[in-house]
Amino acid sequence: MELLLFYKYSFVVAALSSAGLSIIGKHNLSRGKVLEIFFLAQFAILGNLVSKLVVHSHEQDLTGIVFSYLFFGVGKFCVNYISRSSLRIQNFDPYMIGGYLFLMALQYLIIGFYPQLDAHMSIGLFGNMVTASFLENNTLTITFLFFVIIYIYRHKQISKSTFEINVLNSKDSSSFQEIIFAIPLITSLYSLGFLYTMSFLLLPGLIIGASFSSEKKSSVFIMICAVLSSILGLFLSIAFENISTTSVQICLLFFFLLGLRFLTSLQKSSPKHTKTTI
Amino acid sequence: MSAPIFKCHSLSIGYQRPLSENISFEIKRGEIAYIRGSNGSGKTTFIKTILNQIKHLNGSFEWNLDEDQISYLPQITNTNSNFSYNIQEILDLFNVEDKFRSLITDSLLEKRWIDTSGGEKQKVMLVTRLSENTKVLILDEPFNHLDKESIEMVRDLIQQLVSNETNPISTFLVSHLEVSFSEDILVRVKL
Repeated sequence: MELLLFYKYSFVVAALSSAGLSIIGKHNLSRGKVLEIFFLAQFAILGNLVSKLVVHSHEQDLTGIVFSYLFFGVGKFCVNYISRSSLRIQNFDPYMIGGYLFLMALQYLIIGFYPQLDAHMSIGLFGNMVTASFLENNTLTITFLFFVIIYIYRHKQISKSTFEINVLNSKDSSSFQEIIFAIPLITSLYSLGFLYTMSFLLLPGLIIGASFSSEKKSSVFIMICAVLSSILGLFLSIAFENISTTSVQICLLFFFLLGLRFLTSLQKSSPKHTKTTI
Repeated sequence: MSAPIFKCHSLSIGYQRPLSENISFEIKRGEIAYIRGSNGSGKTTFIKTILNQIKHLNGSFEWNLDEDQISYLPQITNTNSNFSYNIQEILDLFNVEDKFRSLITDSLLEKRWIDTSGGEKQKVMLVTRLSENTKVLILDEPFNHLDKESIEMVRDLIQQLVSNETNPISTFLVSHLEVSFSEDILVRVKL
């Protein structure tokens, strides 16, 4: 019990980050931005590495996260510049994969020269909610609370944009919306790692996004699944020292989502359901 | 006879070089400008031109109404979405007024977007573009990839909106397909 109390802030972070990321991910998936985020996430990780190398930032200050924001911003500027250039690229996705691979190679090249960065690189990739510093926990809590409040307030407008981008390939993306999606994302990448962030971003919407009779239900179930798996995963990793936090959280999320997908497909194929839809 | 709500004279459209030249026509309230042309003839460029999104190369055009009275529906490009929106929720997102919601049947309201046919999707999107203020609808390829039944469903809705007695909505219909409408309300434009 004492141990659980010691990690109380981590539980708050687990709940807020999983709910927030799953909702951000659902929008990004519908907006066709997933591969772009994979690419930009590498920029953020690179920024964190550079901050360790150049200004020797550590977990007790915010320099690393500032560098992550800066590098993510540079990446986004490059993507926007290329999309508006005369190159007239219709499908960006292969370029995003190419960029992702290049940035990953670049990070390992830097580590070859500065092996002391290897530990930071591992944390950047795999993260660990349990070892997050007090400052990181506070930053995450504030960031995700900020996102949740804005999302509740602007939910309709954001959803309308997502729908139009998805269905009509609308190019009218609002910078404000991109910023409120990017802030929690970068903070999560910095503190909780690439694997946790991208999994909670992508998996819920991908597996059960289209499994419900309404979008409202879909959002509620996605958040419940995400929050449950993140909190339960954190609890298991505290209770059993051999269990890695991020890995168990992602595995639980995956199985919960698959289970829910199975249940919803069973419900759809049941004779009662068929009768009502007819 | 009412005054034209739109007229263009010797209009040339395109980017560096013209895609179509000498386009001249006018439409009044309750009429359909049926703009047809093969691929690359500049159908979408024509829409962008009259919406002032790109400059015209030559000639002139003129609107006799306010910008907020014009609604534009681009082509539906993605029919495989990964969300659970039902039609009721979509109409809520776009704040569709009750008067226009009645154009959608109750059974369609309950359907999910991903379960609807191409014609139903087009019909729903068309309704999201309507408001009390709408005087002109600009539709880009509304019949694309639709089967015969769906084409008829969309055509009937357009016909219903255009022939509304209290607020007839003029329509710019850009399509490469031939769909029949009452000839007395049709203005044919070939690009």
